This record gives sequence, structure tokens and C-alpha cells, in this order.
Amino acid sequence: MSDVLEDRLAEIRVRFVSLLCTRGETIQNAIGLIETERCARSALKDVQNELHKITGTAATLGFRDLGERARHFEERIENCPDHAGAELDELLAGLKELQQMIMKICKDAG
Amino acid sequence: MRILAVDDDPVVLSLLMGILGRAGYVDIACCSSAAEARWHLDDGHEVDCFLLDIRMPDEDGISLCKSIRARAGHVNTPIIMLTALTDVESVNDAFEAGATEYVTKPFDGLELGARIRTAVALNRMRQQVAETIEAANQVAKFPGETSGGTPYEMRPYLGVPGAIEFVTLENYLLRLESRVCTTHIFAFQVEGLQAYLSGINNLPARHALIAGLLQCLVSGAAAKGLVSYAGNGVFVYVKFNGKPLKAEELADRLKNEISDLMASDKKASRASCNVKILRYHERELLTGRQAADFLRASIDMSGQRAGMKTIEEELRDILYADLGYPPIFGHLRALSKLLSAPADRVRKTVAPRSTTPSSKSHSTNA
Repeated sequence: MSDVLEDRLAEIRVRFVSLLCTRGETIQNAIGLIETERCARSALKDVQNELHKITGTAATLGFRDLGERARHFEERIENCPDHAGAELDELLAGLKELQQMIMKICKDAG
Repeated sequence: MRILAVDDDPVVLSLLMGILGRAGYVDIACCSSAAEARWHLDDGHEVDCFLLDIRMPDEDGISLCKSIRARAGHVNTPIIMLTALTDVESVNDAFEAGATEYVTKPFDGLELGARIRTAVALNRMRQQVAETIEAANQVAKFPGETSGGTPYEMRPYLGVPGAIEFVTLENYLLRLESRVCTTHIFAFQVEGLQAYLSGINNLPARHALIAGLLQCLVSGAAAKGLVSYAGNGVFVYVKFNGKPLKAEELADRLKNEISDLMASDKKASRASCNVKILRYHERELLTGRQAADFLRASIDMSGQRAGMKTIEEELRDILYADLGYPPIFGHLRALSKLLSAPADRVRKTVAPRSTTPSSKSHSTNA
């Protein structure tokens, strides 16, 4: 890869991480809303939209694991938007892990 | 080449600028919404290729794709959908809206560059071939099809709704990639049809015969599916989900239709009216790639295609088939011009074969 492209990608990666931190906060807020009010549908839709954005670019910018996990949960929400009960608890646990992963990336990036 | 990329994610737009710039595409305009893209076009900016995200707020890429296709200047312009969505419905919607290609995120820069080059080259060649055929039809005073009006990709093949060009069907299935669907897929060969067609020198008559058989398959299916003619007497039928179909029933309908169509032709030999079911899957779980492999294997079985053909070879075949006789004077000049540019030498992109589930074969004699 040329130095010029590598430099350009580095700039884009910084921008991606900056947006990722905002997305992580949105996901965290949505998880909180679901836990307190159990109104899963609209909040899950918000989470799905954020995950969709992460899925689209994470792997290209070197965050392959993050991209795959985001795609996994995006598809789980897409295929079953009316999660409830134990299934919803399991989904939330997975989303919390993903959200922590996002926060770690943000923390590492300073 | 002037590219217009539309995506609401600024990171994606930055990535496209960087990756495509490295691939030699420097004239790239970016819009963050469908409305902005429309303003860009309304301002008179020329675009040679569109890259559209599907999931966008306010208006999605599918809707934008349709509105671009409705513009007179972009009936055939390549539109590549660039999205993280890979479900069957999204792929279906994209192609129905007139998309040329479908690339899933995360994307690879080299692959995306190749897809853009291929889409643009194929589009240019198709337009040139269409113009050549149109010119040939006018010289020969044949009332042939016109090349304008409807998006090339979604134009019903030979005017039959539900029938599409074979290469478009292959492309459609390959875009589904690893997605698994309950699939009904059949390949029939009308033995002797190719020989019969070669005896018809009139282009509309050849088309009418094939269109009649395609129509027979479309109307014979219990619900909406896709039908195509692969050449050499081979017809294929693909349907996802829905009620199971019987290959034997469709083959019988095809056989009866051929009998009726040939009944009025005293030169036609009834002995040649034989429909063979080359292969079929009924209600089986297949990935898009497996279905595409199935189609290719069916064509190989028919003896038509032993290996990959270059685009030039395919274009020659198309021109020969559509003219109904060897190209002459003006046609040869046009063909020569068409095939002379080294940049046009593009080999068709075919994905590596994957394991295809076992299939069955059956034959029905008239």
C-alpha cells in the first residue's frame, strides 16, 4: 500500500473512531432504555442503525472483529425485531459486550 | 470517469475517495443524501457511474436508483449498490430498481475498482452492440427491438415480463453470495431447437419463437419466478420460497407449447420436439452462489459452454444470433471497431466454484 493511501486511511481511521465513540454512547443509551422501560422495538431499531454503520466500514479500516460482531447483532435484530424475555436478556448481554469493546477502542485511541 | 457516490456515512465517502483515487478514479463527487444527489444531477453535472448506499435516512438508495433510471440520460448508466445489506429482499429490490451491480460492505478496494471497470465496459459494449443491431435491423428492414426507453438490466428479455437475460440472471444469483434460500431451480433443454432456429433467417420470427417458450414457462409457474434462455435450446427457471413446483409439469408445458408452435410449420420435424430436464432442485436450501454454479453446470451439460468465454466471444455470438446470419459489410465494420480497443478486453468475472448439492436429471419425450 502506498504511503499516501496509508496516510489517508490513517486519517479516515481517526474519524471512524471518533464517530464510533458517539455510536457507542447511542448504543449504551438505547440499552439503558430497553432495560428500564422494556420498550425494545424502537430502541433496538436505533441500535441496529448504529451497528449497520459500524458494519459497513470497520473491517475495511482494520477493525475486522468489531465489524463481524456488529454484523452478527445487526442481523439478529433484523431477523427478530420483537425480542422479549430471556431472548432479549441474552441479546442485551451480547450488546453490552460489544459496547464495551467499542469503548475500549475509543479509550485506546485516546 | 465521473463517479457520484451517495452515502450518509462520511467515513464511507472518505474511504471511497481514498481507495478509488488510488485505483485511478479521481473525478469523484460525494453526496450525503438522495436529495443532494438529485440536486447534483439537476445542476447539470455529468455522471458515468453511480455508487449508492441503500440504507439512508429520509430516502433510501433503492428509491434513488429508480429515480436515476427514470432520467433520460441515465437509462443505462451503471449503478452499483454499495451496502452492508446482503439479504435476498435487498438484492431483489436493488436489481428491480435497475441496479447494475451489488457490492457488499466491507468492500475491498481492488474488487470495487474491478466492478466499476467491468460495469462501465459492459454497459459501453452493450450500447454499441444494441446500436449495431439496431442499424442492422434498419438496413434489413426488420422491425427489431429498440434500444432506448427501459433500463437495460431490468428490460424483460424479448419483451416477456418475468424473463431476463441469462448473464443478468447469473449476476443476480452471484450477488446473493452465501445467502441461503429455499430454491426451486430447473434447467430444460429443447433438443433440436438450436438446429431449428438456425433454419429461420428472420430475426423477429426467431425471437418470437423463443419468447413464446419463455412465456410458456412464466405462465406455467405457480408464482413469480425468473426465466431465462441460455442458448443452445436451454431454458432455466429460478424461484425462491413459495409453493413447490414440479419440473416434469413445466417440461410438459414446454413440450406442448413447442408442439403447438411447430404445428404450423411444415418444415419442422416432430421428431426434434424433445424436452430434456437437464438438472433440477426442488425446494432445496441453496446459496446464491450454488444456484449460479448450478446454472453454469447445466450449460456445460448441454454442451454449449465448455469454458469461460471472453466478452468479445460472447458479443460475437450475440451479434450472430441476433442478426440470424453472418454479419456483413457495415456490421463487420461496427463489430471490428467495437472489438478493436484494447481497453475493452475484459474477461467476465466469474466467482470460484463452490460445492453444489447433488442434483437430479430427468427427460421427457414428446
